[in-house]
Amino acid sequence: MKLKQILFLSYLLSFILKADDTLIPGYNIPQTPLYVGGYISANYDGKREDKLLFDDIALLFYGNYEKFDLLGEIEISDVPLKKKALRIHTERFRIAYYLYDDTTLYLGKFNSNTGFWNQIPINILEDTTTYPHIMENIFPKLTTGISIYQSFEEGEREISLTIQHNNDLDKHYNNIIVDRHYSLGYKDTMDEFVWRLSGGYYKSVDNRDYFYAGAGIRKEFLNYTLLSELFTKRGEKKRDIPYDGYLQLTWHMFYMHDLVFRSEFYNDESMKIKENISLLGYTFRPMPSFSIKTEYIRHSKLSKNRFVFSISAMF
Amino acid sequence: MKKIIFVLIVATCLYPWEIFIVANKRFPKNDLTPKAVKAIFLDKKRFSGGKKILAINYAFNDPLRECFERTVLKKSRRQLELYWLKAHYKGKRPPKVVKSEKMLLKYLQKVDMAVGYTATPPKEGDMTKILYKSRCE
Repeated sequence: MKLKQILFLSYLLSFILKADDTLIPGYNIPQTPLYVGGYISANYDGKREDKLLFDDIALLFYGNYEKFDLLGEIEISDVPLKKKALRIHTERFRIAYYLYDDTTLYLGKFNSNTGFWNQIPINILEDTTTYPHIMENIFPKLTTGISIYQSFEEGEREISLTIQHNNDLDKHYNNIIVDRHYSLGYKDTMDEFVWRLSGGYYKSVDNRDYFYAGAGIRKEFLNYTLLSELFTKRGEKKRDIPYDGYLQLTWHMFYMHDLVFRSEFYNDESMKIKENISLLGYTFRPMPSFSIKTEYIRHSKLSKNRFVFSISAMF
Repeated sequence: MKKIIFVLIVATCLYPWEIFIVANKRFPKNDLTPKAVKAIFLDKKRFSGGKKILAINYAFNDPLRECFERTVLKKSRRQLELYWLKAHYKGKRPPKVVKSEKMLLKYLQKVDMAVGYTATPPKEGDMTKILYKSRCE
């Protein structure tokens, strides 16, 4: 499939599969409480072997009935455009049960309750195509287990506890493969300012123990959004990653046009790399569910300086 | 035509709308804080007194809805569009939509946990109650 076809298909899908009322994607299966939707993302990365690939093609399905809530996500990932190889994964599959008005229990495979970026880690919903270093290196992005969320003051504050004491639902689909993961998260909202604290322990399948902790803030101004996170990770005997963080500023220049600047800094003692990464990006979002992004990434040590370009859509 | 528009704008400025957050008389609470109203209409609060809340909105271009979003939810259209896009990824949906206050009233009378908003206060015998009141900014 050529890039022009992908562009056209993405745009078409994001228009066709919209809800009746607003610009919200998703399609209700008639006579059921179920909705289906999904997202696609194709990107060009100058440093990758397969320069052009679909890094995400996902199908979402969800619905709720009484006190139960179901959410599933099947993903076909990293598909080179010239090959026919398909890798299908269960990215998320979870059932939620509302124990009390402000207490929710989750069971299944879901996004770990850690950090800001990890709550909506897909191209179309983020300001950049690439994600910060913390997303691959500090904590498991997905957890298969049980999680309980307790909110206070009408959802302004929230505390969550997550426990994984088993193997992953899809062993091949996580940044870090673990069979133990315990984490705590706290979120506080004050108008357009949100801050989070997260910490946890995990054991990788090769029997290594790690502890991590971090904090993050997000502040929305009229024309700017500021996002910053800082984490640390410790192995059994030493601090593997003493610090890993980023500061990202998104300038909503004009309607539909954003300029993004991100500065990252990390020290990975296990890999003996200490470096800074700078990113300058531009996002064109003609409609909320369709975006075209381009960015230049500069590494201070590794030879990974490159341009990245992507098209993404949600339907 | 220009005169009519001018008069309407002046009238709107002088006599700003009021928004009444209304629910069925059997709704378990008698008043709501602005935070609670916001949480209900953004699908952050789904239950009250153990029962599922049904939030009801108006069509996308309804002026009362625009006022509600600006005054009560305190979000712009663009912010809300992005908010619901993220909510879609999390398995959440925006409120149900009705075409008129008349239809909303029918829902409120029939569904115990329905919550909506109107520009006029409910009448005696409507089987509804006001949970929160705000002035359109």
